[in-house]
Amino acid sequence: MPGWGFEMRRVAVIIGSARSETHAGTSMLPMSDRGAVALALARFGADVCAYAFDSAAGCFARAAGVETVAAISELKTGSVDVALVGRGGCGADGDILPARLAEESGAALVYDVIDVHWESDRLVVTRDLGRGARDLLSVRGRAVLIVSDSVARGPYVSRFRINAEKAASGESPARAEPGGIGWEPATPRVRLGDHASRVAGRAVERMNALFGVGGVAESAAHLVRGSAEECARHLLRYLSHHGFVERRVDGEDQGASGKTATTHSAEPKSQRASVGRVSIPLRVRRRPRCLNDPLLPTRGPFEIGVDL
Amino acid sequence: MNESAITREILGNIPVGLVGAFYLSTIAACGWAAMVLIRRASARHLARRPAQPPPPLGERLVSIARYLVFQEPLRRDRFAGVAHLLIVYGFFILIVGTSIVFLEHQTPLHFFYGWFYRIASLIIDLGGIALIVGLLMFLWRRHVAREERILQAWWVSALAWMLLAIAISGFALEAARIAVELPAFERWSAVGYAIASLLHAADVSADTLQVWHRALWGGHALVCALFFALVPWLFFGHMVYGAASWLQRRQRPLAALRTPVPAKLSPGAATVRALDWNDLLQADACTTCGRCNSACPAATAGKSLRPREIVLGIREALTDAGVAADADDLPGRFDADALWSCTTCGACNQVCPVGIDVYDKIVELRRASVEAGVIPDSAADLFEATAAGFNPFGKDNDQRLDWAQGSNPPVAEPGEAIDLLYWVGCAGSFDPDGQSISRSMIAILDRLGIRYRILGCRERCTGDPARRAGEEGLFQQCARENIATLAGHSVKTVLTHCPHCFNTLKNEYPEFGASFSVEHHSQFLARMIAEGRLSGMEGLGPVTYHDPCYLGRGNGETTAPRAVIDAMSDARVEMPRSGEESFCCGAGGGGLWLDIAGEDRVENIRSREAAETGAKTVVTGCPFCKPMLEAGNQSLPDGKSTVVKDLAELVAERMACPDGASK
Repeated sequence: MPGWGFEMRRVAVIIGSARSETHAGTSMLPMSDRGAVALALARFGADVCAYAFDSAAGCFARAAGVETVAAISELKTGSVDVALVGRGGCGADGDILPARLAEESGAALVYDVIDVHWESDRLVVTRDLGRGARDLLSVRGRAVLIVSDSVARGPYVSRFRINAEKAASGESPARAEPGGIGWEPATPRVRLGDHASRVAGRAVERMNALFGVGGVAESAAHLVRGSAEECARHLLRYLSHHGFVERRVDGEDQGASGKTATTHSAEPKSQRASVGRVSIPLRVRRRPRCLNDPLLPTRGPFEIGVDL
Repeated sequence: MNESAITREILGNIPVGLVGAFYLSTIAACGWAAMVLIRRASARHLARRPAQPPPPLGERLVSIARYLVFQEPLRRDRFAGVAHLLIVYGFFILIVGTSIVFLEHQTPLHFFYGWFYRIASLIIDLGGIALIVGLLMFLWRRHVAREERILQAWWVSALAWMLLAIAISGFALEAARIAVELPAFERWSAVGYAIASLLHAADVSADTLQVWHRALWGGHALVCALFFALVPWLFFGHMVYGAASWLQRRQRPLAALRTPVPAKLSPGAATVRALDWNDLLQADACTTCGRCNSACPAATAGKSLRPREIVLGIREALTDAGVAADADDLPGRFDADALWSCTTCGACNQVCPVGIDVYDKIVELRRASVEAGVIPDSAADLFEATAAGFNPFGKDNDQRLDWAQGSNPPVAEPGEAIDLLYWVGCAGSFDPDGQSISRSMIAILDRLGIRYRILGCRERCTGDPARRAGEEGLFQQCARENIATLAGHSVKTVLTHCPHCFNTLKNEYPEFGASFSVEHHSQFLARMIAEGRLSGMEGLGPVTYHDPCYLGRGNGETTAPRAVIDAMSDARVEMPRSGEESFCCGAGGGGLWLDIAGEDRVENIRSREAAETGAKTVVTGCPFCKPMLEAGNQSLPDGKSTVVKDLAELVAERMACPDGASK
């Protein structure tokens, strides 16, 4: 972001009326969470000011590049039915971005989301209740997922433990499933060719890149202008390229480039959602958590949200 | 003079009571030592039984005999090696000499007279001199030179001074005995006779000499008995434990990790009891010499890892386990950063004079951390990426063929039998630096008209990074799935440019049922050059070669890469640390993903070494080393930067453009 030093790690977004100095609240967002910044800007327009942490002064100062921040986003959000907040999506500094979003949209707030995946026409959300207990929520409606790259991770669960738990419950041992990818893919610590500058690999950056906001390499050339169907095809290619969705089985995505050939993996129809006429095999997985405490129950699924 | 008169009275001038006290105290000391050894062995045997049996006894005896005679592992540090050799040889001679005297005195055998006596006396004196000189060298290093790697502990010095007291008092009492009559044949006891001559010249009376002799004998006997009692204790323990652990040592390529036998859900070493007997025997065998610390790349880079402290921590935990049942917790004893700094380069194992497998223990501790779920985020990312996408780079496995860029390498059809499989590896598939190596290899193979196949998207990570980082379950899953894929193609030979894949496929997969030969691309290229199928590549300028740990030190392959380089350049220069004693690039053991802070970076240190050779091209044979050395290049001052190339890239370039300069 022009004018913002690399050492600035967090951005403060003041939600409210900057002109009247009456702020409705403050959202402390990671610097890299440009998607959230952009979302806030798009949502609250001129009522938002961005502050960056000035490491030299040791305090937050109004960012000179706020107009630039606003310019990077052409995101127009509609109303939201459910705001899903992942771990770390609400930081210790009192983020109110999710709450404001929910309030503005009359949306339900769901915290401690640890897993989201599509099943048929609904979004199945796993909510962590702690100590291994889970809520399964079946969501139908518009949802926004708020994640953070400063999330505190839970304990890693080893393959031995996963397999032992599965064996104890009579399931076959864990096998890696092809094609998927976690939220936070491994990033080699040294620069690997020219890839590091193009795909940083962090979930938030990839998500921002996905929506064409933020990112170093993003520019107007990234924008696709066309019919809804064409845009959807491009979006699908983009999603599959970044590992957010499985590759397509049929050849619909070839229409965007005309000659794109991909290797396909079969995907059960039950894991597809439908947007218009385009089939979206969407699955977002997160790491398993707390599998070493199997006695605590998983509840649900509970139905929330409204039908599309 | 009658030959039978050329001898000496054994235990002459020593009262029977003192002799009896000596025998009793020696028996008590030996009994005490034996009891300590047995108790320690019992404590060790509460741990796991080793999963793999040791080599046949004959091989092991030959190995220990060779070790004791030549002491090759100690000779890397010449001064310390010579000192130790003198101490061992001197000590051994004195023990044998004392045993001869005991046999002559306590058995009907009678042989300690005449020429045997003269020669034995000379050899025993030479042994005493060797012991004293060795101990003085040892103490000089400790107290004067104060080498950094030496553990400055009072008890090590005290034990050395005790041995010195034994040797000097032995000479003194010999001199006191000889000085009474000063017979000419005792000239063979060179040192004793020389001192005795001085005493004689000083006109010390016989009575005084006898009193001195008796007192010196008593003191000598007391310190000797003390020595026997202390044999199993601390520093002296390495004499027993070191030999025993060397006898039990598993013969294997240094880079090959052993497969643990998981107890229920815990394959790692959460407690000392979760290690195996040999691990604990090796911990007891540690001499605290610190060679591992000085060879460790992480320690050199100023990180918190000190391999010796890991071993001593395990030893301490074993001691504590005998005190309280719940006091043997292991991971809590070590700094987490230390455990995750290890690059599993194997330098510590290689330099250890008693053959301790240090990095195996670090991996065991990592396994325990993984089981406990307490690992760095970067390690969790690495594991999850490998589990989800079959590669540690976090890419979609369907993109595995993206590197080919229209070169159309032949992908094996399902079920097709494969004589030669080119194993591209994850770095060769996803990392742009590695992709360049893969494309070069394809160009070479095609140019040579070699019939081969690749697996394409059915290839998966071998599991090496996951295993070294402690995720044994994930490694075994990768191994079983890869082996099933390879078995489905009846693969005879696997060719790979990645030393990590090479080591895993060659040394670790057989434990899971793999049965194919594995060749590193440097070996393949050297063979092609030797057969005359690759030629006309001369003219490359000065280059230096960085030995990948998993190829050179880990699998002993240091000649093939150099043969390939020599076919292209007659100006190969070596870095100070090269061959099997090379220095790590920092990428092993998951180091490509884990970044533990230190005063410096391992890759920077290695890049500086490479630049100091003056060569502008650094050649390596590993897709992990290449990006690390390139990263290290960034730390070099302007104008010092080098070009990092893989062997295959250079060969492909020279094949395409033999007369030109390196591209």
